Amino acid sequence: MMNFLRNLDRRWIFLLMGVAVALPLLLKASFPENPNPGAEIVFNTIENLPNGSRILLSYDYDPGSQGELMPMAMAFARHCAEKKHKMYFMCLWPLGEPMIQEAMNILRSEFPELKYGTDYMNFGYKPGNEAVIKNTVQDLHTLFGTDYNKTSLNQIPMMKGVKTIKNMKLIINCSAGDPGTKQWIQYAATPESIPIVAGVTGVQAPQLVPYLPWPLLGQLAAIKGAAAYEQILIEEYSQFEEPAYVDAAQSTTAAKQRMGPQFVAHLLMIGLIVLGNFIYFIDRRRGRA
Amino acid sequence: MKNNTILWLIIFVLGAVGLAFAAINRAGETWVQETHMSYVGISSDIVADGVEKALTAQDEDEAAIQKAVGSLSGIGKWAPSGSPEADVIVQTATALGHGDDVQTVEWTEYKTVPLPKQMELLRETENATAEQKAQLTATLRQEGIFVSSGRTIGVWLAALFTLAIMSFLVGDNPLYKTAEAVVVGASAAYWMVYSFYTGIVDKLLVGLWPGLARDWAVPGMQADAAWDWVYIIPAVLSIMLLWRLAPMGGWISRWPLAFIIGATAGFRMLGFLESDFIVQIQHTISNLWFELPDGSWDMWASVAAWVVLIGVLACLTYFFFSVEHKGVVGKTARLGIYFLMVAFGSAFAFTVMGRITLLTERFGFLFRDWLHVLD
Amino acid sequence: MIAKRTIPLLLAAIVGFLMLATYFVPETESYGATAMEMFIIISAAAMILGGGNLLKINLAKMSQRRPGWGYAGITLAAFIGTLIIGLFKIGATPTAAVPGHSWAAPIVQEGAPFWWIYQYMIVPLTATMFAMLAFYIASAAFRAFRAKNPEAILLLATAFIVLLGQVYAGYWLTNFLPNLQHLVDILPESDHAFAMIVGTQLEGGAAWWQVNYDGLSFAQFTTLQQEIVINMDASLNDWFWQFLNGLRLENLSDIIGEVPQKAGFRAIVIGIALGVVSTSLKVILGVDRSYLGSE
Repeated sequence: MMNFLRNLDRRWIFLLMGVAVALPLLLKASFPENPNPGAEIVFNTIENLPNGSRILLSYDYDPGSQGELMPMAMAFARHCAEKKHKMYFMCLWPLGEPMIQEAMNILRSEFPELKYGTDYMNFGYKPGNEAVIKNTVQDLHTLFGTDYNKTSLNQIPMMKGVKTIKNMKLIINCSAGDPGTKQWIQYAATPESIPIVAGVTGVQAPQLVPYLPWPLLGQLAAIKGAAAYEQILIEEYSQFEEPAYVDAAQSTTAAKQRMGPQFVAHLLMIGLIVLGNFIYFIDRRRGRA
Repeated sequence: MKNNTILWLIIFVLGAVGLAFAAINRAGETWVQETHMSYVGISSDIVADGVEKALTAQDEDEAAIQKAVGSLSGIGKWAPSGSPEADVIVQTATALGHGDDVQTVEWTEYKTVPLPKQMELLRETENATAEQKAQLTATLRQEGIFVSSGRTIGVWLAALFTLAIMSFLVGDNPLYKTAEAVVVGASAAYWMVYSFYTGIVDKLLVGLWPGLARDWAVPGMQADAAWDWVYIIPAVLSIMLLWRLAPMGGWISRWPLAFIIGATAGFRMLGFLESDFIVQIQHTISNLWFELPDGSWDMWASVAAWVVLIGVLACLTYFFFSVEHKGVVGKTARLGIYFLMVAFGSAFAFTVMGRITLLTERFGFLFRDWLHVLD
Repeated sequence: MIAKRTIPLLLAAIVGFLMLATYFVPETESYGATAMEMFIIISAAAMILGGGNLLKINLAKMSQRRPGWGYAGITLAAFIGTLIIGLFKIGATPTAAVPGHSWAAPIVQEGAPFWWIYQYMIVPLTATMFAMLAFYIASAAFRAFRAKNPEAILLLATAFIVLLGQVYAGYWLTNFLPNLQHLVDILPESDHAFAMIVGTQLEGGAAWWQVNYDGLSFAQFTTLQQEIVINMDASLNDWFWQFLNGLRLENLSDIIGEVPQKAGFRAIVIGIALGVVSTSLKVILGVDRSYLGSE
């Protein structure tokens, strides 16, 4: 037995991990969700802004991290729509633009009373990473010129009175790396004192902790953050629990559904580390003896 | 080697069974809802004759007209066919002698029907006869809902690619290598297309040759936009950068490179100095005493602030190599290591968490969108 | 020599100093913004250069019949196919915003071939590539993470706490430790809703006289309700209760994030900042010339 474990083909571990994720998914295993303080801060920040506040939403991620960030990005859009906030979408990653379109699909189908151009708009993508952030602080009109539909910014009603992102109350950033939340903090939030909240990947979350609580007011860390935010959103706006929303192409419970596999896989990871160490200690003891 | 052969054999048998199951379950079948779009309007070409100006004047107040007229865009004036706005456009254009210039543009948009809705409709006919099923298909077709062969093939291809990448777990194989080659090529082209349209067209062309940009890909630009000589500089630098592809004159790309590196150094220096140095130190030392709403001492918050302060100092001591890590310095550095280990432990856990989520999402795609065993 | 070394060095210095100046001299801000405009365009050119390089390398690989040239061919086919479809916006339709121009359509437009490539090729391939790391991290966990010394034990223990604390397992394992729910549960059933709402407010930092319920302020509560609030406030602010509550795995994992993790990463951030500042200064002052190559 010990020999088998010692020389275990790693493909067995791969199989275990696969089963740990697939089985709870197929069985639709779910657990109660207890929102953590981080998600509550993010929710309250958006909730406590006066209705109709201008918010910049930058979706800086790609399909490589959509498992973690898509649920947050969609929940942000829904929450802002409920609060009638004016949403200004943009992205620093070319693969982020389809993510914005997903959010706008939600706004079109679930909030038909909101109109493109008066309630939400999309600047689209611009290359240049930090340079783009620096110029959003200077002049949005020069930077973008037109929205993603190629309509002049001067002809978009919600751009009246908006020259730079200094005219916005909050930055919401979904970030999977660089450029992302760190750059928004360095080149917009800190120098211009614009508050920012973020939804970030698990890899990034610990690196952004030093910037809490200012200018990063709060962050949704990985899938737990997303699930907690979804939970608070459902508790406050109960219609999001209805089948029409849960069964939408981008479900209102997408992150919560992923917490079941997460539970089992975390236990598996701990089990694997413990087992690995068990073998190690047995071997070490034998070696000494 | 023999083990590997058996493994591949098992995988292929399982794969074949899976595919048979998938075929029965109408796997990957994707429905779309079509919408016919029809717009009536005038193009911007007849702006000079005042049609667009006249129309703009109708829906703006007096003060706005001047501004709007001065900033006419190349989009023209359009409205959905049959709407009152469309009638106004036709009438105004006709009155100004441009009745023949009114255009009608038609196209069809297709939106994917969300899978739960598709599954719900399918379930209704689970025990139905073939005739009833055909009836449902016909009814749906009338509503503009039908199976999209393009998207169904797409889902199958996506599933195949997902499995091809995963096959690397068993061992390197041609299927994986093919998928890898495809992703490299397609992603590079995707980035290139995006940077061409958003950087070169939307910025460079708009700056240098606004008329062409407006007629071609950026119709919404203001008619009064003028060219700006400043954009010659990035145009030249961009060409110099692309010179790298040429077999000789490699030094030519140093100029744009120097520009990029100099600018990056400049803004990074300030960005890091302010937000990662000054503000960080400020946050560490500025607030070490916290009070509860009733004015009493908030013990835990204050302790936490002190621990953060001590932790930061200890870690910085550990990073400081100009002094030998002995005695008090050594002990402090040791404490710093402990803080760092806790930080890395937590970071490791978060990384694990993130990776697992990505796998869940992929399995979700396979089970839901492809195999339809989840809804 | 001048064109090869002096001008690039000067260019880097001028642009670098301009960026520094924008911070201190408001009059230079517009020049800085113009420089950033140029930066954006050159960045776009750099991405095009990346595509060009890929083309060059793979063409060379194919023409020289180096090992794996067949895959280079596949890469090229995917690259050129995607590029042509994307650049020429093949299959793009007009949009309601711009009915007269299909060239103005969004680059990724649902239903268009470029969208199809994005949706059914780029998404599954990139998403799966990243998801694969879940398997490798599991294998590494089994083989490499050994509690050899105190540092490693600390790392693994923290990882366990956070892994458990982020899922329901943490809640369940340490549910014997007190939390708000426990305080509510000891009250009669009829007071649960009230206690939960005011308790959440107290836990969120409100003082007992600041809580409200159903539009009523503390002064308007019944005597019994006031008593509940005072009692809960006393429990929630008791340091030992807070200590035990903090040991619950879900809270402990948050505390780790807010205290030792913050300290560790803050020190790293400060260290990196110093590094970046010094390397940036070297570039701007022309001390570091490595980007000019060896020639």
